[in-house]
Amino acid sequence: MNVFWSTLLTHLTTLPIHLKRGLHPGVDPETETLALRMRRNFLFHLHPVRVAEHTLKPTATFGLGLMTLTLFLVLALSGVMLMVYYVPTNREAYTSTQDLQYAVTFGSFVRALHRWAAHAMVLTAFLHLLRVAFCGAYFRRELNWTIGLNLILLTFGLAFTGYLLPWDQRSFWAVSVSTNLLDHIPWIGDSLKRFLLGGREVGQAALIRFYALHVAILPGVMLGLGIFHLWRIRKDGGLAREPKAPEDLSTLPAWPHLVFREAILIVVLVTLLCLLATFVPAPLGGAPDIHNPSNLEKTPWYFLWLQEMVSYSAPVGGFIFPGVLLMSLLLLPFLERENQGVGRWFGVPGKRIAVGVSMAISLFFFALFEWIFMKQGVASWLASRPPLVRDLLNPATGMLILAVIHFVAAGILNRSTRTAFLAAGMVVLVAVIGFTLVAWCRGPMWVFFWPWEEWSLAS
Amino acid sequence: MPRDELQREHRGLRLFFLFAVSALVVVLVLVAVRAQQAPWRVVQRRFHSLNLGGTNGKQPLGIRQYYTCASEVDRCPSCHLGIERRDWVTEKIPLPFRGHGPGLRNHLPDRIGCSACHGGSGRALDPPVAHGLAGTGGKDPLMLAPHIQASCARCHVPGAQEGQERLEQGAWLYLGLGCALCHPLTEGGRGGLDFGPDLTAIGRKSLDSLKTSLLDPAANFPGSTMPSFRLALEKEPEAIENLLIYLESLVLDRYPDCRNREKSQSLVERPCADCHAGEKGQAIGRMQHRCSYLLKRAAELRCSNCHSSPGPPFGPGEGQCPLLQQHMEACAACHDAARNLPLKRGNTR
Repeated sequence: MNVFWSTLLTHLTTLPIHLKRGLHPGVDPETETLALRMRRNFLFHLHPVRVAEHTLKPTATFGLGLMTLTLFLVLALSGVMLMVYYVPTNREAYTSTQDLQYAVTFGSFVRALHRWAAHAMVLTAFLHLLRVAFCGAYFRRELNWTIGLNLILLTFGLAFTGYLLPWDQRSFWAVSVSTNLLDHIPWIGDSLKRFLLGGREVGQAALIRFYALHVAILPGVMLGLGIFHLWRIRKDGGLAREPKAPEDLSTLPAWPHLVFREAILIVVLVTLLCLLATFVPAPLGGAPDIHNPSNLEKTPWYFLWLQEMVSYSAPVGGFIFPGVLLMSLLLLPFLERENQGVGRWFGVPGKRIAVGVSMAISLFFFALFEWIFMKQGVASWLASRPPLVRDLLNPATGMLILAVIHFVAAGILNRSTRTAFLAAGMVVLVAVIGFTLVAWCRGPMWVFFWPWEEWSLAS
Repeated sequence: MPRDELQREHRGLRLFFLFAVSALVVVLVLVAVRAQQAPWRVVQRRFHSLNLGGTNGKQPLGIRQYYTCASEVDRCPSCHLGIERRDWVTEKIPLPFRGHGPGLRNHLPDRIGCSACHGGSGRALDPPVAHGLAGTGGKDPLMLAPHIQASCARCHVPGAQEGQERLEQGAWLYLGLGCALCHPLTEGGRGGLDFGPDLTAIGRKSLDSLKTSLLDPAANFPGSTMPSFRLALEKEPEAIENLLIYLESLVLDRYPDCRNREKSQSLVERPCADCHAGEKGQAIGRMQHRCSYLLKRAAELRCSNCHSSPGPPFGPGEGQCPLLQQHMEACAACHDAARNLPLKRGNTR
């Protein structure tokens, strides 16, 4: 008996050592090398042993990729929790969301967490794309850039399919309006819409399709592509940098310098999300009324720029502008292959002036275009023109032409494809953000109101 | 970077990490604490602190809900804990816990719930949302005193039961003012004159805007051809409100009649001759005149007011009643056959 207790006590006191040994089996902690430690732990194994010192600076990446990954994991976890209660039928979707919101313990918190994480992920994925594009980090990484583009499209898809699921008045009409944007895609638009909705209108068929896409198909594809994306970063040699001899590069061990920074970022992000989810709950409107759009018909905020452009011209705003944008993004790493200033914001210092000038010019022209086309006289003059003129004369076409001019001018003046793409990209960015803000300010009948002007939805 | 600087940075990172993790723990505790501050928990704590339940009335804290015969869930009794107590109707009991009082009669809350009559969101436990207050996306004036009578029309023909006088007056006004001439209440709206829009969903508009539309139609819709009812209504605020109550009732679904469902369906399916079994198929007794509008005016009306010839009276052009002649749809003011549903109870026998 005595022997039993003393043995147990010995084992208990040495438990921490055994645990440590268990995590690092067969290795003496005193003599193990850093490389060994990084290789043995699965999570650390995602990292290289040493990282370039300049990539640790917060401004190098702002941690946007890691933030997107963290948000995806938060969304997966909270999403599975929501799935336990949610019922995807048009009779019970709304009532089960009400149950989640009001009666289920922590239901309102998990729902708010899921919503905030979703909005944040759309934002961080978009900013991550901007970071990679403006840093030229796609250099010789055509495959990973393409995967990344697919991932951001999947993010939009996930956010959008999730928008319908609460099945309240707001989500029902927002999705109805958004799917009507598909009508503007020539030839296949109508079939695409019917494929997505399972009919011509949002109903039970659309709900179950969106649900399947949201909880199984899109996250599954995203998980696979996401793992591939991370693996390619390691295979491509970590964060992008200018090709340099290894001895010129100042490096630091990833443990602790990178790993701790990442851990801090994750914990801070999750803390902020929890705070936000506690104090700002997810909204839940009234039951959907398929005959009466009682709210202002707007798409979710990340599609507002499309809706704003479509309000001027369906073919340009709904098809040509986003089509040209997507094609340019796809072709970017294939057409732009300069090896200077890779991994640095806006390239080498001499080229940054061009980007600033582009931004100033495009801001001016954006304001000018919106001002002109919002004038009542212009709208009525346009209405009496032939359809081709009506479709082509609008702010979106203007910004597209401006982008092309910037592309050519910057390319010729600076003799650099990087500068050309940066200048054109800046014009498009100003357009996308500008259209979003203008659409966000719109009130009833799509009339523009400044944020300090009051309007109401009465009558 | 020099070695000692690196070590200092490492220590700083660890400290920061520790700080961040503790912040996360604090926030998670905050989340748990806030969940305990849910309004219904606060109300239930007050209930117990007032010692209202007595010694054996201390039911465990928790969400209480009615699962109604229409498969709806009403969580109202989570806060309104004494709603079924007939002896708790006095002023001495503070408001959320007071009993319902005599108004319940046959309306058993555990069968038809609360929101069937009172509106609001029965599933919600957040007071403003549950009560359907403005700004929550579920504006529901049914909560307020005379307007609750609109809910009666979910089951009863206006005026068929006591306690819905305002609704009945509103229905009469709708007929008397001739609203149905332009706004028939059939599916799809537009009737013989094809003037006004469908009013079956008009009850969702704000009461103020409806009132404006009655007194000054062009204010809400410039160029409206609707005549102003200022002369008839302006001096009688109560009449306006009655009409509004009736308009509000139009938008409400018919409540599933759990108790009499089979009976009322079979009545509709029975051949007309089962009831209209008089000579040559004509009606006998008061059978066809259960319409409370006609019954209450039986002294003024003669048969010939409506029926010009014997035989089936309701064919277009057969009658002389201006409403019947051009607008059979006026019947829908009381009878919701227009919504392809069985006639409302109180009218089927």
